[in-house]
Amino acid sequence: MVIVATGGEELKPDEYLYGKNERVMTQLEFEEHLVEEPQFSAAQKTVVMIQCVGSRNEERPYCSRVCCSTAVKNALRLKAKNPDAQVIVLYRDIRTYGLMEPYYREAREKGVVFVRYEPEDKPKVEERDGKLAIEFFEPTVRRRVTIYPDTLVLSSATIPRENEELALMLKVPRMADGFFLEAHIKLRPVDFATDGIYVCGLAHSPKNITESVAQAAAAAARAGTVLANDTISVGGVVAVVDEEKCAACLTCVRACPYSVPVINERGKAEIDPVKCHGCGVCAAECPGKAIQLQYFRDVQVLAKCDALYGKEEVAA
Amino acid sequence: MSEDDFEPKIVAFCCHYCAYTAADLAGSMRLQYPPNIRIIRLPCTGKVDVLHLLRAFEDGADGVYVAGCMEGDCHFINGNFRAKKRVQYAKKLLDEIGFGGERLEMFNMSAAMGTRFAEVAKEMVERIKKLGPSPIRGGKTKKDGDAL
Repeated sequence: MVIVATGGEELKPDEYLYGKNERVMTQLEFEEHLVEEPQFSAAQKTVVMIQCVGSRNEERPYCSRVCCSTAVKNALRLKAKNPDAQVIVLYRDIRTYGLMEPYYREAREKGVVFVRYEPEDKPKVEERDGKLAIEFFEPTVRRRVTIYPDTLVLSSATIPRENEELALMLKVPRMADGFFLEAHIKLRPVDFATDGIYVCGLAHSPKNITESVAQAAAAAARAGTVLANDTISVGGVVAVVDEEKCAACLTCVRACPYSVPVINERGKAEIDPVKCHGCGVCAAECPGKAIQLQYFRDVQVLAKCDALYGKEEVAA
Repeated sequence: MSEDDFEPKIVAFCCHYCAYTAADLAGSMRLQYPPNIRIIRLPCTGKVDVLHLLRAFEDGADGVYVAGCMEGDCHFINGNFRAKKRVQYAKKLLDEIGFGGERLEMFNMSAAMGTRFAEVAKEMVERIKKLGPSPIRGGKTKKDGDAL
């Protein structure tokens, strides 16, 4: 039983002078300053936040989901400590979804300015005479505006933790962006196609804490359905040997990726149904057609072929 | 039958752990791909038998492909490599009898590749459209030296 909950982290951006100017920071770093340093808030006259840094672009087409709410939360927190601070949020689309919408309204009421930018015309950040200058197009006045803030906060993307080795080890699929992929988006949202392995949290996709908790509870419940049983029945998809046909040629013994087939005391191949993983390699390799995989017997697969493009149609 | 109104019949043998899930994902993503593909699910492409591939052709399929996991990612360790070998072997047989080995192909994709599944479906339909109906359905057999 494995629950994959490897989490995610905040992308360290490589744009907007991050790492080059100490006044440029990510939302998490900004939050830390707000909480840990009592003088920090009072010193902020102007703060600019840029949304969708590293998300919803070519490299990472997904929305990181938490950044809009985090930006609104931190803007409100700063406003609570220093009501005179001006906060300008440069956004593409605000998604304070669910029950967080009232915070967005509150932020607007408290005077946080939200300015939309287009992905083709991202804000320009540069250092001018030792000051941080941010130039962007303000659509309501239809002019390019330059602001000199005390702090520039980047709402950067949520990325999965390094998990390639784990994915290979467990043989579970990941999306191109590195997040784990569930067995079915709607029907099996916390399962992997492999039995006994489940996924939850940021390992699966960007989401907020409430969603992570709900998904974690779901994964735990799914694991519980197995752990609660004293015995479990394995699937019926196992290979069965027809001893009459078996010539004990050892092909199956060599082919099986799990070394399940053995030659029994009667000199015939024997496959333990509990150990069999049901891949069907032995059935396909057996030169005497002595092995059939239940539910995928040759007659069944051939019947499917016949049913799809039946013979009557060929004659027509 | 002209190339335009020829609708190929194609059978896809899909591994449960990758291509079959990818097909599902293609559906969830609402991707469009030609309706000429008929899927037969297998637990692993390692289960596919030359017998099954040939029977599909015998039943009148104009093209057949096997879609398994990315190389090295097989859920059952190495089933997709076995499938690859068998597909290559069957291609040779089809070439020998003038049927055209290019009517059969092996593809690899992961469960996350919904887009790739749709691409492969399109690719295969286009290829078979160019080749025309299968000789079993009255199409031309391929002789040595014929261009694709």
